Amino acid sequence: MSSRSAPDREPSRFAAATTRRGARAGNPGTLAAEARVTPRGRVNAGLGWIGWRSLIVSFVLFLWPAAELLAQPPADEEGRTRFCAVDIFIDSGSTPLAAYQFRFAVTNGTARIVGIEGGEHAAFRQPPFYDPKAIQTDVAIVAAFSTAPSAELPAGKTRVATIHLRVTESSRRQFELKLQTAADARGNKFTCVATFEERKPQ
Amino acid sequence: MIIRFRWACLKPICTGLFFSTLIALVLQGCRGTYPSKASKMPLSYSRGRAGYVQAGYDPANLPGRTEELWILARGETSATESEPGPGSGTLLAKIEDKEVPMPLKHTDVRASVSGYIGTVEVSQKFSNPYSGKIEAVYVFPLPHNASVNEFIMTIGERRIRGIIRERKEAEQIYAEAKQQGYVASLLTEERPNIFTQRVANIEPGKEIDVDIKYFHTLDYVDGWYEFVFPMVVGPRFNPPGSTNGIGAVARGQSGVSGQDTEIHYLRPGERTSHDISLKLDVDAGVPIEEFTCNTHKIASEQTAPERLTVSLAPTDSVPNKDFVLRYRVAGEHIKSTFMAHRDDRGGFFTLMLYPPQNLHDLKRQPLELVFVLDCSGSMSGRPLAEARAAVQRGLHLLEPGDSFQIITFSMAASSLGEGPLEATAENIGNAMQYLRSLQGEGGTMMVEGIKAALDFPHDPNRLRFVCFLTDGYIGNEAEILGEIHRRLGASRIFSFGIGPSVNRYLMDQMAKAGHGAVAYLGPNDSAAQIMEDFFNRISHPAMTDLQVDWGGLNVTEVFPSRLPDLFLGRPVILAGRFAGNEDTTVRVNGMAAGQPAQVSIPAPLNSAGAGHIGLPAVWAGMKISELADQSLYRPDPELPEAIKHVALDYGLMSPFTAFVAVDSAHRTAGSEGTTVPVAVPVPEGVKYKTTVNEN
Repeated sequence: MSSRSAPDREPSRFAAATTRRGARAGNPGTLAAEARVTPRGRVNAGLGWIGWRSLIVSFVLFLWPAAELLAQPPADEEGRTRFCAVDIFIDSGSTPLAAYQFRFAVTNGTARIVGIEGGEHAAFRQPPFYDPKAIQTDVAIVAAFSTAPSAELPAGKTRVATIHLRVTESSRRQFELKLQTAADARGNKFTCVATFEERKPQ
Repeated sequence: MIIRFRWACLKPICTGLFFSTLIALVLQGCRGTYPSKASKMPLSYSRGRAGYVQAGYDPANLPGRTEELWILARGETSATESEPGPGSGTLLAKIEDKEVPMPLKHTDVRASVSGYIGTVEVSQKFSNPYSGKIEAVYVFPLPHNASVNEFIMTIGERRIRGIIRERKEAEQIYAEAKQQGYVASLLTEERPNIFTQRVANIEPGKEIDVDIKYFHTLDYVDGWYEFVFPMVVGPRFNPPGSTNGIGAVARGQSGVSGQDTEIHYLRPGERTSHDISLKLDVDAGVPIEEFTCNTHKIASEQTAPERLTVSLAPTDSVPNKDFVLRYRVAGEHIKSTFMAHRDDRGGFFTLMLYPPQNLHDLKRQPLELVFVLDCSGSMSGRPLAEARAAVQRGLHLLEPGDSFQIITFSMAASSLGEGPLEATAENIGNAMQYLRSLQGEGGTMMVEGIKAALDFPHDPNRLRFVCFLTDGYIGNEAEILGEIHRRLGASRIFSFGIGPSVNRYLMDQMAKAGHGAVAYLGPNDSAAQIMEDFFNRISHPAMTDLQVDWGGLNVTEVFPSRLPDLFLGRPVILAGRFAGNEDTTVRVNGMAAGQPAQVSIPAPLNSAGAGHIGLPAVWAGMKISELADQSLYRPDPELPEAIKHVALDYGLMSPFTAFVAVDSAHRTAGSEGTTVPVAVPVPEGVKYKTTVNEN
């Protein structure tokens, strides 16, 4: 059958992996089994104070580091987190940008939004508002507007917001950006281009 | 990546060597000590690569957590063992002057009132006066009916809007950001009126602002609107054995109280540079006839008959008592008001419901009054004197045919007599003598006072009113409110908050649970006047058994769901959701002294009526409050989930949600720094000695 389970295909490797996961989680079942194999009283009978000291130092020097090696996650193991910033740009061409709304989404669940920052131009420096309900699923529906005159609004490509994220270290992040609307100082909608760039980690 | 790989290899060996050395030292009889807390035994750590030196020890800074090599060494000792220990320099120099530098420099409050809805923006300016990186922790009060829905962290010119998350997740995000060296902030709710602000990785000399915004409804008390901004949390008493209370500890003595949340208080003679500024703009909609502020010195300006601007005087900027502004608007007969707001979520409204004027004309029934006085240590001195004066005035206002009793409590409860006493001259004289003998000392076992008052034999021929006079400085509010719910019976509870910085959440909730009303007696208020207002209120029957006919409105989810009685001079605010576009009239029917009574309120939905952008937040806040109340009386595992759901949908603070903001664009150097709790003064008039836990 083509749909065989993992243990059927590679029983030994699966068992080893299970043991390691159990050790990491402090699986009490494994420890209990070992205690039966080596009765505690028998060990005590043969060891004096010097022997105990040697045993402890040996344990610390050799067994502990070995246990650490087994227990510690690989550097890039799934679950480790770091923080990163994603800049949102809108290119309005020659038309001054007075208002916008975009939808930024984390599409594969590998990042959580932890802050939304305002843009680089004075007209959009205040941190934009977001939809609190949508953001619980890491969809940032973000909007801002400025009542400044056209001369004081940004034109061309400008950073309108920065999304701060907590991301899982090793997984590939998938973001989706859609500009829902943009308007000029008169409130007329016009076509713009929205892009995003992830900043390099520090 | 290369460095990480190397450390991954070296880490187990280094760990082994470290612990084996440690054990070897122990086996050789070395009696070296290891600090358990930064405040008890500061160490220095130095990083060889950068030569960076910082005082303070934190287990989180140990190798392995930061994946960098650290050399632990005993450092210079600080001036006193009790210092919080972030470092040297400014901290030590200023302690000699009795001014203790703190990470919180300034609080700025900008408030506006439209109708009876207040919008308040609070800006907290944190800075680091120490030589090492710190985390600032500030426990502070807000009005218990505040719907906090905005949180912004400002670093230089960059402003980052915080995200509302489930509390546990927000705490986790904050902890990770802190550990990794990012500037982050976290706002959590400990009680409906007590919040904790944390700001991580503030570098030496740097400033970080945190802005909070909330909406709330104003109280209307005996003809006056009341705007309150609390400035300090009073020292709470927690019953023995409790751990989830609010501890009161001396500055720098973390962990002494054994409570989950601790407030650090400055010792007598100490002060900080933390000050507060406040500006309030009132647009009453109708002319403001008079206003008063008995708590602070203010500057005021009336730009139009219905507009008032008030600012806190710069000479009165110590945040050690509640700011209370009262103003009276024109019109002999205040009318009920309906406010509505629509957005893409639907329609929201609030209804301020005033009692009908004809309640004045109805006679009162014989009364049974039970005065319950808090005689604990926090009431010692002026607060107890004010409470005593209020009760004395109340005894004078009793009429033949009334009865009374006086119960006092601190660690236990006691009473003047065993049953209701007739309001005779002799009994009142004995009561006066009893009152004069009272002194404030000991803890606040309020639950004993509740039990004694509500289990007290009831006189069935009289209307029974139980008057609690207390500052409410306790940490077990849920237990108290639960007992009231269980034991209330035929009693009505009227709570009197005594002092400059009362636990208003407890006082309001006691009155709400007890189907009564609340009043506050500040340091400069007249105790006699407060008691006369109370007697005026209870001397006329309330409008009871309220039922609302919403006219052409399709109304859902009205809070409070159980309509309270309407007492003279005390309106009730309802909030709900609606569908419909046509103007209509809302009619409230009830009974007053056995006679039908009705109040009619126009609801202008189609024409230009009163509205406010904060109404959805106010409605959601009232729903959360109602669900939280229910959780006190009937444990239901679904209630926390329901509260969380509303709070997340509307972006509001709650016990189960929190705001978090992380600046991921910049990572600070070094470890996460030392935690410094912001110490605050005890409220004005409250004695440090009898309230704060000194180890």
